Amino acid sequence: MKRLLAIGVALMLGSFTAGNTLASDKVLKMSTTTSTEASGLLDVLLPALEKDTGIQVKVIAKGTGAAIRDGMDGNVDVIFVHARDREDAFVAEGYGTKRYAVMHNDFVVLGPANDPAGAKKQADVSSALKAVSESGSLFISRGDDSGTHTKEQDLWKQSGIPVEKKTITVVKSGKDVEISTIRPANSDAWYVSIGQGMGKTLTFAEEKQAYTMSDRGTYIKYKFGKTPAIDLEIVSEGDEQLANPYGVIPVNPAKHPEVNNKLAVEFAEWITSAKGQKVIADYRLEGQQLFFPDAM
Amino acid sequence: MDLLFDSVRSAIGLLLAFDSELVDIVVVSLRVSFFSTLFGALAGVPLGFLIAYNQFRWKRMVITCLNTLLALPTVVIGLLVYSFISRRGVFGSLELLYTQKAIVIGQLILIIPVIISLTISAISRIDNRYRTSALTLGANNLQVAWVICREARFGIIAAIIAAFGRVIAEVGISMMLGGNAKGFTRTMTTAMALEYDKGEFVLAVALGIVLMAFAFAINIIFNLLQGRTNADTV
Amino acid sequence: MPTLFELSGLIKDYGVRRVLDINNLSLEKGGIYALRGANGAGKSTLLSLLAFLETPTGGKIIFNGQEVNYGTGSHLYQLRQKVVLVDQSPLMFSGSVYHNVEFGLRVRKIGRVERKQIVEKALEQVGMLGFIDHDASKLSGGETKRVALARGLAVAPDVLLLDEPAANVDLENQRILFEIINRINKEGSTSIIYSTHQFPVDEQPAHQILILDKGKLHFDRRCNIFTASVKVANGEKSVCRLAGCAIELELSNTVLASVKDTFYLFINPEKIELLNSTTAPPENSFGVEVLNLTRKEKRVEYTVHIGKELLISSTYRSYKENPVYLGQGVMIHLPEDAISVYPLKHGQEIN
Repeated sequence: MKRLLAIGVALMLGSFTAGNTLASDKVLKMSTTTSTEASGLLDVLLPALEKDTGIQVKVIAKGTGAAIRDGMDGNVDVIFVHARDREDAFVAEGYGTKRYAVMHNDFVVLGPANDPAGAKKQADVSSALKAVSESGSLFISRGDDSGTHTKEQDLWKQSGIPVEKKTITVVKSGKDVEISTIRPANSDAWYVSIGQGMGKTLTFAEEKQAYTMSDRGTYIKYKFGKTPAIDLEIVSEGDEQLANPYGVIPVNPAKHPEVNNKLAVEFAEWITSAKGQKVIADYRLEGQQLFFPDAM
Repeated sequence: MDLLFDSVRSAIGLLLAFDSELVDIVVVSLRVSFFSTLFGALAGVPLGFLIAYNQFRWKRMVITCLNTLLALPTVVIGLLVYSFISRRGVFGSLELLYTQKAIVIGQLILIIPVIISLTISAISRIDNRYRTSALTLGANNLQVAWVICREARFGIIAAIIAAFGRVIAEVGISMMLGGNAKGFTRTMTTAMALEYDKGEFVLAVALGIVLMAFAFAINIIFNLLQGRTNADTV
Repeated sequence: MPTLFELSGLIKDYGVRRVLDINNLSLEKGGIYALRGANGAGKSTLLSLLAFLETPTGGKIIFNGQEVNYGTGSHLYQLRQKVVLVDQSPLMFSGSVYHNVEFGLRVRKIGRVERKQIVEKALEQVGMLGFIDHDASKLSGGETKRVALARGLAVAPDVLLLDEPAANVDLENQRILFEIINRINKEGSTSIIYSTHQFPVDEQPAHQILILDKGKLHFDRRCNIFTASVKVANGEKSVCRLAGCAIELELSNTVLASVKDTFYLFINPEKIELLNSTTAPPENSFGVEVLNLTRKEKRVEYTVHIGKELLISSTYRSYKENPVYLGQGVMIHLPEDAISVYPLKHGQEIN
């Protein structure tokens, strides 16, 4: 009995270490956003990548802020995110080597079917948001510093509605750093910031029958891929401002020598190659095209 | 180490500045925890007393079930309550989801077993002679119950404090049922989870320090009471 | 005197152990009863039953002519208003001495002013008035006992049950305790039943003594207790003299192991044998004269003279087989299993 147990333990340990060594050959650590992972694209993209290049990707999905932070801390080899300004800053500050434009999808503004703010009638997204703010209907903001939240803050700024900037000071590396968020001014009564992922934000908005903003992929999933379907309608879409570009940035080995830059670059080049771009273009969610290749 | 140092400095800075956002979060946390603990105590202490004081057929079974409930994960409670109070649930029309009331409901399910269980052990420790002394001096059942609860008061208060510590440090229920809405249902723990998601570790740790300060204060009270209880039984 | 308690067929079991088994007992109103017996004889259990704090396993208790109904809590609650039991090692409620003594008055909804008067009087009676504002949990054992007594006195019960009131109390305080018992019995016509495992002191105030042994009540009068002393000790057996009596007993040293030279000796009247005069008498047999003869249901009780009165109780059947008459001389045998000995506390003797 004892011997059997010993053999069992040895086998388990053996397979464990064996698996580890095998896996460590071509494993890429990538941080991405929860919405990218939730879109389901990675489920077809990564197997195709492995088939072509033998690269296995270990995906760590977080909010955009945390995903970029993982890159800055050298916890991952590559980041795959959608927040253009911050991606550029990431490269400019030397954390990443180069931004590869991969694809884009778009954002949509959602609201209850009866559209109490009359946002559907508006010509563009700015006036739609203005209508929401003027009606005093609830608006649910992700408020989690994610790409979607970053986009939403930009949209409020560009809509011409007065905004207020809330800044808090924290200490980073011994220096005072300001962190600021933007929201419509005097909006305490109708603007709810919940600091959660897209899915949670959608269910929250549905629960409250409120307006919100979502990436199209998550919305399609909740609208067409779920029973019962989410009880929210698109009230504004198609505006150029709602475009949502995705980029891949290998982490700079000059900052973090331990990262696998060679593999990261191989990944970035494959995803922007004709093969990678075709996988993206062919991807369908609930029968709808979700992502549009940017590198072809 | 830098992270911790930065965080402590940030926490102190935010606290000293009486940052309105931080104050909001702390107030929501305390408010929700206070009501959960209050209602939890109002339900749990009498139930615990009844179970401890009375002999009935399924007593052992009931206590075993209670001890099992102690291990109930907060996400399970969150899911359960969610399914009842979401718009599609039985109580959807009450519009409870993503309100402080919803958090209180969930937290009650979390802590009532805790309070009952600790009350039972507090009451069971009380010498039976308190009961017979009160009875023989002419007390009725209610008066006897009062005497026993009075003698068990430190144990009962300890139960209530333990429950408060549990709810103020709990994150699953607050997140699932409260929804982390800023200014409405954002508590210290959900705010920390959010700051972590945003990669703002400094703020997350700063909030953690505030929470630890509360936990520390609660434990000091707890220990003081425990000390007194021990002194009393000597 | 009207009857206070009437017990019949009263049984109390704890699990498989029978701790109390009383065929018949009636206690009169206004009496003082001492309940004697060794530790574990069932004294506390009997007092708890009389205080309506426990439910008997079998039999019934009639209190003030009314059978106690254990089914209804309110009925027991009514009865408990008239009876108070003071514990052997009482517990104080958290709070001051005042808070403790006023407890029974508060539950009886007596007004604050009157409450204060009664509490002060009760504490004065037990000599604890000076402690009125003290923390009750900080009192010594003796002080706690006295406050517990005051707690009982304050509610002026019809019946006061005291479990071992004299245990761990020095002689001076025992005397004070007995004075209090006498006084409240006379002034307030309170019936008192107290238990003690110490054997009799003549100053004890009891009108009647009940002896419990292993849950059974042997007889309900003051008798068959003697002060004895070892006269000659040799080998396995010792010769003991009973004070004030004309007889000497030969007892094995194993029986005497728990006592010193002088001790109490109790002779169980049910185990005394009446011998047929034709047989040769074994040791510890004596010729005596029957002074008194009473039939008690299935038993017959005799009183004989051995310098003091000795009670003998035999079954009616054996009486019929071997009848005796008043004034007749008979031979009695005291077997060792009829004899129990108890240590004597210094200064306590009966003659």
